[in-house]
Amino acid sequence: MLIKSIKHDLLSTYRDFLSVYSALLVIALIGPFIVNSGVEWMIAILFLGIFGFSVATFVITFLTIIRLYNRRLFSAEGYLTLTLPVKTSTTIIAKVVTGFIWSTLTVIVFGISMLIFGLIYYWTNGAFKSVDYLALMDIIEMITDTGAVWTVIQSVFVGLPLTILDSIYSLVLLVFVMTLINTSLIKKYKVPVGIAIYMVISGLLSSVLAIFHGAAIVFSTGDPMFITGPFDYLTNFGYSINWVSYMIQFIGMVVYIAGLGYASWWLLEHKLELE
Amino acid sequence: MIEIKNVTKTYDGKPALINVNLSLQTGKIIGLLGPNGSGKTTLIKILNGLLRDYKGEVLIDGNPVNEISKSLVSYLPDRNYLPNWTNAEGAIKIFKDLYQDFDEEKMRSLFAKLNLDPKQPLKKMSKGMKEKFQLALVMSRNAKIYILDEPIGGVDPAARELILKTILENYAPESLVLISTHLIADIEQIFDSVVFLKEGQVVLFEDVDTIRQTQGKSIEEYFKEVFRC
Repeated sequence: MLIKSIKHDLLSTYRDFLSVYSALLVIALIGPFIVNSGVEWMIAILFLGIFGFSVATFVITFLTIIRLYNRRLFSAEGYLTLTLPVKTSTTIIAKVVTGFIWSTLTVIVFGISMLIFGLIYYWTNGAFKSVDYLALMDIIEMITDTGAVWTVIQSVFVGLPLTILDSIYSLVLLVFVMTLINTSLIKKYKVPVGIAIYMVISGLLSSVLAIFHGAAIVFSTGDPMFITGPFDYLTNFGYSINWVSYMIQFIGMVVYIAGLGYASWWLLEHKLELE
Repeated sequence: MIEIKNVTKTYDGKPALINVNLSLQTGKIIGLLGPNGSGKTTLIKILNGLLRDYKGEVLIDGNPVNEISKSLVSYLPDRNYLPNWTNAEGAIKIFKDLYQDFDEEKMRSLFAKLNLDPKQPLKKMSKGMKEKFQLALVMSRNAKIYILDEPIGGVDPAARELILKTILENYAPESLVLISTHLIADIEQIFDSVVFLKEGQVVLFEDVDTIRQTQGKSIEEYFKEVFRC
């Protein structure tokens, strides 16, 4: 039932995200030609637009996830969602997973769009024709030999569980707050009350966790005494894991997710009041 | 099939239901009647798990309101609950996936009978068409209980007849049908029993034949007498 719920949540929301992703791809495809046109005011508008839209993409994603929860659970569609023969816990998990899929996909589409932008820009400028590929290969080999690339990849994978947990935590907190303002406990001013509760809980929980840990992954370029050239930075580039901080963050996030998930379940089971 | 024990629900201290006790059995079409604000929709929302903060107990086929009880109840709310972009095909996918008792063939045949186009998106339908669309979906389930909240509330008299015919032809005789309405004259001929709700309290739960015999009046006439201001 969980897979089916996620499937229908994705099907009912993909239209909202399709427009955002289409806009990103259109900018990536048209943008390089505007830059090449050399018309200054158009370039200025383009970069302002790209900057604005980059910020807006993530804001829109966040707002669309809020709309997804609100529409699917607490508006007229809730009369269907909440009367389906699905466990309350399954409903909550499906909403969180759906939000996670969309927020992850937004990051991926954003990255791909920027890559397309860059590739088209260099390609239309003939930059690829004038590249000395042999020299480029040499540089890549030298960078690879420093081991920095592998270090970065490793650190990304080490940090990935915390990033995923952090993202899930934000989504569960969102579900909790949206559920709370749609119960018999909050009668008036639901939106401002919801925003205030989200900020207070988010700040409070982050502060509580921050008291107990420092940075989980610490990057270093080694002793500056031994760095004489640009590749020395890369050769000495490394990271260390503060496992105590790492585990505090990991367990803390898991506890927060479980706690907020349970609280959302309890509210839906005992205090729901669909208008 | 449905047991409602001492159910009380208040909104901001104002009672919407007061100590409601009802035992509704299968094989009957029961009218839940009362003027606007009498608590009909509140009671129906409680039966479907859309209101959880109340006192008392509700059992559906022995289960509290949960995913099992929801699998037994086919519910038609008093509003459009399907997303506007969907059409019959989209709705069929949802119902087929999530309700084991959904009968796709019955749905397609109902669509034909109700003159609905399966490919037409909901947003292009009139209010009456939307109501027929949802009714077709709800009646396409082979459920043990049908709960229909104001099924003829927003349609013209001609469509009302069609909707009532659809309900009568498509519910299983061994199931329980609970219909809430304030348009009694149009619908009273299909009821076996009626519940009168007045200011959140059950003031009558009786077979319609008994009411007609003892009162010598139609249900609508008796309703007007009971609810006269």
